[in-house]
Amino acid sequence: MSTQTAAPRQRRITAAGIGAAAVVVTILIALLSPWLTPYSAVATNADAALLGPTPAHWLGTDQYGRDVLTRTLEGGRYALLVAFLATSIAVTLGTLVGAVAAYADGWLDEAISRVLDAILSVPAVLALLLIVTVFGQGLWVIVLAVSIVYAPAVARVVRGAARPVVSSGYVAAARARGERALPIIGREILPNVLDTVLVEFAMRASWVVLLVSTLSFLGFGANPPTPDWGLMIQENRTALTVAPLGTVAPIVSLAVLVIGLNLAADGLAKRMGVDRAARAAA
Amino acid sequence: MTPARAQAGADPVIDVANVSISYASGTRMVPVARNITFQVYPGEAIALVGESGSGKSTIARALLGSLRAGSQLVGGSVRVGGADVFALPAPELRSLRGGTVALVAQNAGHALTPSLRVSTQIAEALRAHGLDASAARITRLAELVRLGDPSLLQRYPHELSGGQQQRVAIAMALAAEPEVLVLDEPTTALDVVTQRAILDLLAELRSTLGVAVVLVSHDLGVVAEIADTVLVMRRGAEVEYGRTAQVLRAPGAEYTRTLVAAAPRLDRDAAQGPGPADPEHREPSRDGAGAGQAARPGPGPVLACRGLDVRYRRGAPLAVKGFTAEIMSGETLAVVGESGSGKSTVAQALAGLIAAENGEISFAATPSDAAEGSAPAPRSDLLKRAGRRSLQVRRAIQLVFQNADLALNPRRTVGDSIARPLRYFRVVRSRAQIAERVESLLTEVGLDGSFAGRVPAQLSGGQRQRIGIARALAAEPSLLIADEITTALDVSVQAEVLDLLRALQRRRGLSCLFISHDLAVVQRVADHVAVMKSGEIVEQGTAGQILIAPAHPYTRQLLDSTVDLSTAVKE
Repeated sequence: MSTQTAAPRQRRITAAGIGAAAVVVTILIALLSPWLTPYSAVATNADAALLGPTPAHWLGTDQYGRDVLTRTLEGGRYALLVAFLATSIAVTLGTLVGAVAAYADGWLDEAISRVLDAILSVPAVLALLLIVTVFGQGLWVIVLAVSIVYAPAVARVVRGAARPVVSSGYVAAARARGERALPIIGREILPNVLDTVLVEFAMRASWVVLLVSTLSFLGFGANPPTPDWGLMIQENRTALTVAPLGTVAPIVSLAVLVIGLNLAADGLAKRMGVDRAARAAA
Repeated sequence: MTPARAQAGADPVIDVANVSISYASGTRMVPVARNITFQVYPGEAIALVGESGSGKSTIARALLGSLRAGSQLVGGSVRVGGADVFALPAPELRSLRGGTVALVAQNAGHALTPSLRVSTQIAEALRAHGLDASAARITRLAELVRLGDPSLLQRYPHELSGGQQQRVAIAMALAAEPEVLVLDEPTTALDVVTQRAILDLLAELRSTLGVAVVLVSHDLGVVAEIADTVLVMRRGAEVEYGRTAQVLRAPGAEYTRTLVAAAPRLDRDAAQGPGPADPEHREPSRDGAGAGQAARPGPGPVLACRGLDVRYRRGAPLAVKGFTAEIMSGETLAVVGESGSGKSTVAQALAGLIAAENGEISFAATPSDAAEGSAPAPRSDLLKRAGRRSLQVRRAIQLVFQNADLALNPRRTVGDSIARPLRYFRVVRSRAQIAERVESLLTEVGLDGSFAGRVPAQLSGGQRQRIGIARALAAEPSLLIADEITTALDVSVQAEVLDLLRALQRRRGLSCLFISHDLAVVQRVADHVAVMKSGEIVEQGTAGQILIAPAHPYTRQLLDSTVDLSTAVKE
């Protein structure tokens, strides 16, 4: 491993550290949000509609008199939940398909790769809108739809990472022992692409968060009155001139989460020595 | 220690004085070269010799005023053509690089830009130094390096052979008529025949152009061939410095003696008997179990191939045509040939990594089969891939790989890697027995039980190759297929691995198929030799016959091309 001196290392503030902190804080807030403010996120109060910032409502209220701060704190829950589930499924599925394609190396690889290309050529938002229109807006429909849209990209990167592993001596030794494909993929190949898979997870998660928020904004994701950033931006943008914080707060929160995920994923990639661009191209 | 060199009037073109280079690791400085001193006069050749990590490449690169990031010159000076390289301002340093000192990198295939035709690349090298880049000039350079057909200049690097790529790289280096040519392992990636041609070219260029040569190499044969003086390095420090013939014939330092002794040497005269696995010297099998019993003196073949045809995929030309050979029980058959001759394909087909198309293979998978004395019956499953062979056959044929770095799973401990075949073939079952067997296998290959907990990254190349052998032995095979197992290793380590292989063969009565392009190595281990060219065997026989009195002109060409120490030492 790399040579490092025994001297005490200075703790430096890195971009990756800031990113990771942003992600952790956002997740904690989403988990603890019901206990952070005295207001309900969904109860309306017509008397207090569209207030500016006051000592009682720090970020003001929206058109139904709901506290913007409360809704913003709770608004990450839906996107985070969908992002976590969808990314997990997409990465698992993509990793398996990519590893199989890399190992197969022949007509099966060719077939898998062309199918992946076909799926990748369909614009993600369009595909999602189509699926949601046909199957409805249930949580699992959206989770599965997002997974299917993102799995091919993961598969392609993992295939690129797995190809050099497939041509290595330890895989040849296992093949010469007569081992079957799945044990070889599981024992010899997957442990060696784990770094790529982890980085993929972090990177895809940020895109999925954005995508889910886009869906909510377009009215195909979270249903009112659920507090959700995408939905909040959509609902409050009509009152942008009167109570701008109702729109700005969710935008800032969303940006902090996405930038945080990106920075953390970049840091993770550097730390693990994963060159994503090179592997996707392979 | 400096070799006396009274050259009236001539100044050295390279003067390296007390150079020390260190690498910054955190807050510490790690020395990579310590007090290195040498001179090279015009037209002279010096070789920097040492194992990997000895600092030889660092010194060679310092001649170009280039250091790896994080390294710095901590003492001494490097003068090339009278100029202090590390004191030069940037523009002059640029004209020095390629102008006065030119580098030919280790792997020409990687050093050339893949997207440019080679003529364009040579023109670039000329223009970089403000020289005329006309077609005539480029053609002259190509002639100078004996590139042959001028149409080759219009090709892309990947359309050239390894030898042709190396010639183009040398042509680019010579473009600005440098005074010094730095060659970093110029022939390591080439096979014997091509290596011979490149070495001849270098000798010719030195005499016609009078260019000084700095050769970085671990191959003492190449060094003996080219260099006038040699600087042996170890862990960044000078071990010995002197005239090549003198250093190689009568090494002063213990370390040089080991290096010289380890260098493979091709004995061209003596009637070499079947040395290593001579039946008379064969000891009875030590352990009673499994394939160890194959050591029963059965002179019959363990494996016999007749008319084996192999191709990589449907429609592709045959990679191996009509391969017919036998491996006698307890003996070694070496298959030799240049790259592309199909020798590795034979190994892959026998190991079941690719299926054979035609032919007949008989194999004595069990000791009793081998003991009968006559050839075992042909088995059709041996033509198929490993997955379709019987467990018994798979277990009895084991592979050791060329590149030990890639042969072990980096995410698994050594113990895990060795235990896998033990479990898979149910050699032993209980956890305790497996641990015990792993330890005894490690001891058998000259390591100790503590290695079981390590991962490959913590091992040296030689240690990894030993683990690769231990993993193959775990299955208790009767036939070991060794595919160029020493090519990637330093000479001293190479000799150790070969000795280990011989000892194991004797002890376990193992038969071995040994694939190699290095005839000196082959002579050390083989009983029989088959010479392959373009997928076919051109000649086969006992090692003595083939290596001392070859009948086929191609075998003679291979022998003549082999570069080894004997020339330097006998002079």
